[in-house]
Amino acid sequence: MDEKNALAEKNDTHDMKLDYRMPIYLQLREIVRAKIEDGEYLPGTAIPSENKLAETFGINRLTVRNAVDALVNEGILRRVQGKGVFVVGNKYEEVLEEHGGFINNFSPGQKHVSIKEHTKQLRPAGNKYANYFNIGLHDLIFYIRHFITFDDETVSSEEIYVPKEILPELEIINSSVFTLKDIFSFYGIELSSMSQTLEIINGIPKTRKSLDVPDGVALLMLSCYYRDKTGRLLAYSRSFIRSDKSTFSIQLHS
Amino acid sequence: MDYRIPPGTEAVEKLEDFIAVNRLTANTRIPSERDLCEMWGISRSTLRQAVDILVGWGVLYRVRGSGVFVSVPKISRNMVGVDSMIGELRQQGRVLAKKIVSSRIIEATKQISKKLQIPLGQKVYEYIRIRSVDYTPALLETTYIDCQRYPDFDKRYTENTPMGDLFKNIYHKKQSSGKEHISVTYASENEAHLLEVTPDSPLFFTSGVVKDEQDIPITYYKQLIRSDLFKFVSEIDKSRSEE
Repeated sequence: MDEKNALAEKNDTHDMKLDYRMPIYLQLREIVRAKIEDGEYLPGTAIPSENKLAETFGINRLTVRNAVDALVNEGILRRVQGKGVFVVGNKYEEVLEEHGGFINNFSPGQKHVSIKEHTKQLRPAGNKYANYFNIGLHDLIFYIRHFITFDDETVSSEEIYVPKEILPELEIINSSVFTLKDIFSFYGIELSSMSQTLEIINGIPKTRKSLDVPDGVALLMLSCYYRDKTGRLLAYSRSFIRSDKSTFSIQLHS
Repeated sequence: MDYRIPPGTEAVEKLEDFIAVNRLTANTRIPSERDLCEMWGISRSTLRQAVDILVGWGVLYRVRGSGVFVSVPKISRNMVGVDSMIGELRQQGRVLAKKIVSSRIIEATKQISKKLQIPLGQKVYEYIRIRSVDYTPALLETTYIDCQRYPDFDKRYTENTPMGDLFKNIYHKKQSSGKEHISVTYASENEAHLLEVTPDSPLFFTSGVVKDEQDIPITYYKQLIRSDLFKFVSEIDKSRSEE
């Protein structure tokens, strides 16, 4: 019996049989993914050893390793030297849009999430932000940089730009405790629309290093524009997010 | 107090602003290093680092021996509503096509039965389709539909019928809401082949359930989306939604 048939036969739970001529390691990847989603492999526990998996499915160990590696790269599994391969639970979920509400880029109330204010300074707008905010070249803007950690691991860095004239109080506000949306509402600034863009980028070595992004893992860039009801831009932010540490969800309506 | 922009940052922002103000379009070459350095009074190495950053962000790309060019903008996958993407891309005048890679009836796995809220092992249609935009394969989609709720779906569905139309016209179910999860995965060899990218290229991996007006699942789907072609956009307008 060839490897493919052996795998199909052993996989009697019919989990994810995506066999559009799929190689064995990919089928195993989907089986393991389904077992995690089904709760058979629980977060924080180790999955069976590579030897054991190879034996169970009657396949080559190298094939097992490829499947496991793929899920490690996605951040679903974590390999711990000398201990095994563990299921990563509860990824830091960023809510892109909530029903009827605004975006929550990060919820400080969420367990294990911490936001650190790394930089906060005033700087001249310069060409780009003078045009963005429709202010003078030398008008001052706040530049704030956050590092966001989840379970003691850095998952993203966020840079926020806000003209000083819009929110001078930002100088004394700790921007890591409240979201920008909250801060605006505290000071009676009406946020009326928000647009976000999420894309996958390579990034530059410096950014990748600051977030400890492993080779081969993609980076996400999330840009956000905050506007008032006249359409004036109030703030702009840009985040770099480790793709193996975050997922996004979004609510869709008809 | 003297406020300054760090020279490296300033060069990046000047370059971004230059592209925006001069409305440089896709595949336009930006001026030579020498000209830009002279214009802004900055060093070659500062400019080069700025270009590196914008290449890293996908704003610019380099062609060896001929210069630096403005990237083709990514297509916005606008997260406004269920099945909004197709209509929106059509409005943009893009040529859309889809091809069925495989279609069959399978027994619902635990995952599928949970998502479609049907008993384990119940028969479901599984469609794997590839969608192309402007003749470029862009999206690989796997869709599951309950056979019992949608009898003879397979006899009615063809590549040329939008699924949404069938649900609405034949089964009188309107796709009304859904929640989508977005993460990143990497193309396997087969996926890379179908999407015409190199293996291990990063792809958006989305999955979700589309529900009808009674909140009953219609479809459960998974999509692999080329990240060099698409970006996700979410627009929320409070003033509009309150009307």
